[in-house]
Amino acid sequence: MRTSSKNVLAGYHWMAAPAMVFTIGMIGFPIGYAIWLSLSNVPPGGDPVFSGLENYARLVKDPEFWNAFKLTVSLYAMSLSMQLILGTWLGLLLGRSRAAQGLTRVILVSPFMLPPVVVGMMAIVILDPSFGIANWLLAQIGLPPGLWLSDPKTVLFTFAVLDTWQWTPFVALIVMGGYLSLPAEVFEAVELDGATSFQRFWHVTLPLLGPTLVTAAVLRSVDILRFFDVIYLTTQGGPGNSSTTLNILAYRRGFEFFDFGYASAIMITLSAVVFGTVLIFSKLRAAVAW
Amino acid sequence: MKIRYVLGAAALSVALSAPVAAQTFNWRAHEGQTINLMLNNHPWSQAMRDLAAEFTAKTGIKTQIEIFNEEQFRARLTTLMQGKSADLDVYMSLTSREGAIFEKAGWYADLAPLMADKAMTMPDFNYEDFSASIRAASTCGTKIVALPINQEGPLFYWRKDIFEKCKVAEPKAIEDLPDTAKALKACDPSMGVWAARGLRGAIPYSLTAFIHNQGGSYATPDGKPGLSQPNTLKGLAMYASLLKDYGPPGALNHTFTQVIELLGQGRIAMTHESSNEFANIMRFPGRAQDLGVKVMPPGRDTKISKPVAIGWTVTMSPNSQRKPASWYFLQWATSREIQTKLIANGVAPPRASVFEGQEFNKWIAEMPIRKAWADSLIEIGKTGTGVYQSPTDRVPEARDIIGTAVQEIVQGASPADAARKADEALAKLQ
Amino acid sequence: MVSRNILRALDRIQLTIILAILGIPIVWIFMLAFKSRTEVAALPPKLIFTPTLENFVELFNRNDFLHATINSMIVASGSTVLGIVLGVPAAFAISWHRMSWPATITLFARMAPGTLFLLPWLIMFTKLGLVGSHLVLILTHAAITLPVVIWVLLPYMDALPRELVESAQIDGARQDQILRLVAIPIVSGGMVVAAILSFVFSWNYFVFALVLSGIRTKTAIVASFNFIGEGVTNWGALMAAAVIIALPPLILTLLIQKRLVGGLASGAVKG
Repeated sequence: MRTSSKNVLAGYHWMAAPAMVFTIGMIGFPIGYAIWLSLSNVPPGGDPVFSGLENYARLVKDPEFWNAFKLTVSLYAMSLSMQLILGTWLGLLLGRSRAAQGLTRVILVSPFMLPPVVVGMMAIVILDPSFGIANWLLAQIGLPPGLWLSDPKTVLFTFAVLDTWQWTPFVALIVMGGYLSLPAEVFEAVELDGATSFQRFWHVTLPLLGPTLVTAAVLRSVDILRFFDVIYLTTQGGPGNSSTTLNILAYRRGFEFFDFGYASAIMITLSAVVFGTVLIFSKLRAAVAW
Repeated sequence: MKIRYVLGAAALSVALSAPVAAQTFNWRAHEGQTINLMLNNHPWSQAMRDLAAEFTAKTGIKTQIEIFNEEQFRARLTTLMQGKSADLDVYMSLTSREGAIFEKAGWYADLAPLMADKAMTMPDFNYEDFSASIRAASTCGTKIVALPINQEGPLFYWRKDIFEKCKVAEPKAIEDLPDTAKALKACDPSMGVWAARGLRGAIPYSLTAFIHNQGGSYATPDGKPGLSQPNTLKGLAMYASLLKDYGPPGALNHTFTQVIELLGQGRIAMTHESSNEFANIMRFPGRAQDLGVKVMPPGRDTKISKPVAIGWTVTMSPNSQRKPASWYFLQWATSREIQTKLIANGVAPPRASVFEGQEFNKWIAEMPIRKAWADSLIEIGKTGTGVYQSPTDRVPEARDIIGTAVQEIVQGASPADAARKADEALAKLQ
Repeated sequence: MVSRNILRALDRIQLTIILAILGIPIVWIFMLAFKSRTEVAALPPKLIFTPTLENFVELFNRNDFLHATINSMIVASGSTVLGIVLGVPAAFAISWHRMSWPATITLFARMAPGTLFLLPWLIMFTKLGLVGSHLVLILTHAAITLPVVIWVLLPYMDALPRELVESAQIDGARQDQILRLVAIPIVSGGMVVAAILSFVFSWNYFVFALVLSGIRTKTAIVASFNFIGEGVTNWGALMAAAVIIALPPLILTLLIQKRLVGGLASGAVKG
């Protein structure tokens, strides 16, 4: 028997190289350029003029920025928690009942397959207080109409609900996949030990699902923090500023007010926030691996 | 003497031949080229897409037309222009909104030399056919930055049948509006009375008449932001209260699309919305018969009527590699012939000759409401203004701030507070 | 046992409710695609109505929608293939060596707002002469599908028993053989999930196509924006566009779902 100890120690690092080269090639220049823009004064039609940290200083003093920051974090917290909790519940339900077949699967997959245009239009068609069917339905059963996206107090939560509606099945499928690939012996053993189903869930299933949940959380996090499409299509950050998340703010500053330098600063800041969040989850993934 | 004769004859023939050749305008001079156009989603653009084949047949120049709705149009245009892309030749622009910014950025090509060149311009182009104010809107000094393709402004639409049923008189002064709304509401509480734009950036368009007609202005006499002036506050307050008390739920997210939908479906009794939407409104059953349209009534004491009057324009990118061919499109699209054809699409022509012409009058005569619409347009062409924000180059931001103030008032802030905050923000833009 | 039946029934009820919440809004939208223009936004809504194809007709006649749909197909497929080709080996390597950082780097493309890339990519690809081509869209979309492939595959790769790989190594297999013959068959279920997700994300992404596509390579999503805007919102045509846009991903899933469930349940992982 040939014990190729060399092979056992050999690295597979090279297999990651093409992906790395591609990524750095594609996004290296844009990120560098955006950083440079954020450090410059960029008149529309003109060339950027280096201005140091001026844009960032302005950002730190800008109440609109902090408002957007607060909104982004609130939306994130609401959306992610709802999706993870509901997604785990649904994922386990699907895994248990092996119901993810045929029509069920199609229905599950449909919401997050929908393009943002459709979700935005759905939000308007269903939720518009004047045209929408939601309020009409509420009226039929005698409940007062809601303002949904038109009320600064409910708009963010409405977006969170929309996002949850769309992406809970996604989380659920990932959780289901993770659940189904868990070794069956563990469950058998625990059941023999007479644990209640909640104990089983809390002490066995959930920890075993750790890595899966972290994956789902990371994938959702990067999207929720940059939540843009549906807001852009429906309220454009309104009413007032009550749904102007960081991404929307950057967009408006750049493409509506032609303030590219400042917009870039906001975008870089948002990227840093997302990056920080991903780092945290990365550490978490290592911690929950088994 | 013979030599002089010969020289004379030679000189004469040279003098005769050269200018004649230079002055021949040939529609097919740039045959075979293809130009790229990017247009905003607008009745004009839709019509252009259908008429483009005629242009190609006439000139041999092929066109690739892209139509985007406003937000995407802006994002794409901004990126292409900032990136100095040569892929774009012709695009639509609202000079009253972005003219100052675009011109400073150098995003408009100068059309004046092209227009002056007799070999490049059709002999009967007649630039003076556009009124002085319309021409001014797309001129910067001696530089002609764009050509006008329509004129539009907000008009007061009201349901004559509902007013009659409720025995409410048509408002003759703008101060009558709140009482009119109250009476209509009392008459039939289940019906919608009023709708108007509530989306931040869209508000100033409809709001302006409320301010100007009551004697207010966006600027103080010395050119500073003047939302806090008493008459201006009146305008802001009236618009906001109409929206809050009589507007549909969710109004703060509404722009003209929702307002027109409500009007078309017969769910509101009156509104102040764009003349552009006229053709679309008429498509709804019944509206051609029961709607009245006129300019927003003047102030009772001020007698001022000064709403918004703007016009879209079509222009050329300075980075275009096909400027002559693009110029051919621009002049063709804004020619008398084409603007006459566009009447049928509800595009109000900026050319006086078309407006007063036979075809237009025939079209108007077909329905009485069309005449009312045309008369209103003539009026706002004279009385309206394309400046509806405080003095600044950063027009989109300024309008956004003004709209925010109105939104805040609708949500309960006092007009004085909202105006003061807005004035502070507007001052930073100067 | 009675309690087990009750549990099962409870499960079924919960499932039905969820499916209704998920499905009904979508069905509603699809219904709107078949309503005539003036009926679409009318309230009270007509549940019984004569379906009409006028929206679809308008969609394909007055707009180059078929072409746009084909473009979406090309771009989404291309970027998915590229994502898989680059991502599967990378996921294996990352998982094997328990490195985090390469996965995180690919995620950068999804950390920055999409609009950040617009201007620099325009400049970059203008210099390369690729603006308006399918290739530029495939490349840019691959930048966002690659992280999806890697991150979705990581748990599957993590669950791969290391003994299998080690024993294959001992047997003298080359590294690429190990990848092809040992790892991929086991994680194939995950690959299918990753591929579907990549396809859909790429299909639905509009920001890059908005600026980088040319007239001939405009994708369906970008084309569908035309139905909102000046003039009355053309709800009917938009809903028709929505139906067309949502159909390919749905059909794909229908075709692959068996393999998907099979892949998940096969579990060489379970020993």
